[in-house]
Amino acid sequence: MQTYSFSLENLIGFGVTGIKIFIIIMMGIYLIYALTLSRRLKIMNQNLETPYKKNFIRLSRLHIIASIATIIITVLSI
Amino acid sequence: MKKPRYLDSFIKYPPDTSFEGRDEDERVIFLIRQSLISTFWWVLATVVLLIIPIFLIPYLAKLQIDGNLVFDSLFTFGLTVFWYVVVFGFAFKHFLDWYFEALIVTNKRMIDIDKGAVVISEAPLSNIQDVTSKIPSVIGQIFNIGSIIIQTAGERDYFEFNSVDNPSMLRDTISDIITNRQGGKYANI
Repeated sequence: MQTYSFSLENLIGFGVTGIKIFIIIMMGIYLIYALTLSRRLKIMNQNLETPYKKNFIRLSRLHIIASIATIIITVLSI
Repeated sequence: MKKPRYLDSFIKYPPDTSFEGRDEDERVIFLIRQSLISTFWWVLATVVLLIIPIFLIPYLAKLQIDGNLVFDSLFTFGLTVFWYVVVFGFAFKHFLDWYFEALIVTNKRMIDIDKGAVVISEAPLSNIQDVTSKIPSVIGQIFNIGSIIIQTAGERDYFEFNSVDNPSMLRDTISDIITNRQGGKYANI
C-alpha cells in the first residue's frame, strides 16, 4: 500500500504551485479583458474617427500579444 | 493657421475627424473633450503603479524558504511583465475613455459621445434652446473647469458635458454657432 507523507516542505511546495496557478488564471482573465478592450476600441473608432485610429489599434494588438506572452512565460516557469 | 493638437480638449475644425453617420455636406466645427486636468487621478495612479515593482519585485526574487528560492527568475520575470501589461491596460483604458468621450458640434447637429462610445446622443442645432455654463466647485474655479448644459426641444431634455476647460467661452461659442446657424452662416460649410 502506497503511503503519502505531508511534510512542511511539501505543503510549501503545493502552496507555491497554487500561487503560480492562481496567477496564470488571473493572466487568462486579463487576456479576456485585453480582447474586450480591443473590441471596444473598434466600436469607439467607428463612432469617432480620428487621425490616431491606426496607432490605437496597434497599441491594442500589442497589449493582447504582451498578455499572451506573459502567460507563456509563466507557464514555462512551472 | 495654427495646427490643431489632437489631444487638446477644445479643437476647432479638427482635420481628419469624422463620426458614424456623418452626411457628405456635414462638417465638424468643434470637438470638445474633458479637460486634461480631469485625467490627473488616473495618471497619478499609473505613476504609482509603475513604481511599485521597483520595490516589490527584488523582495519576491530573493524570497527564500529553507535556503531555496520560492519563485524562480523566469516566474518573477513573467510576473513583472504581467504587472506592467496590467498598468498599461489600466492607463490605456482610461485614456481611451477620455479621448472618445467627446462633444461634437457640426454645422447641422450636436453629438454627445459618452462612456467610451457606449451612450451616444444627438440633437439638430435647430432644436437647441438654451446653453448654460457653470463652475460649481472650488477646484473648478481655480482651474476654470466646469460644465456645459445644453437644453433641447427633443426627446432628451438636455445634454450635460462635465469638466470642460473654460466653460464660459465654450457656452458663448456654441451660442454663436446656433445663432449663426439660424442666420445661415454655417449652413453650407
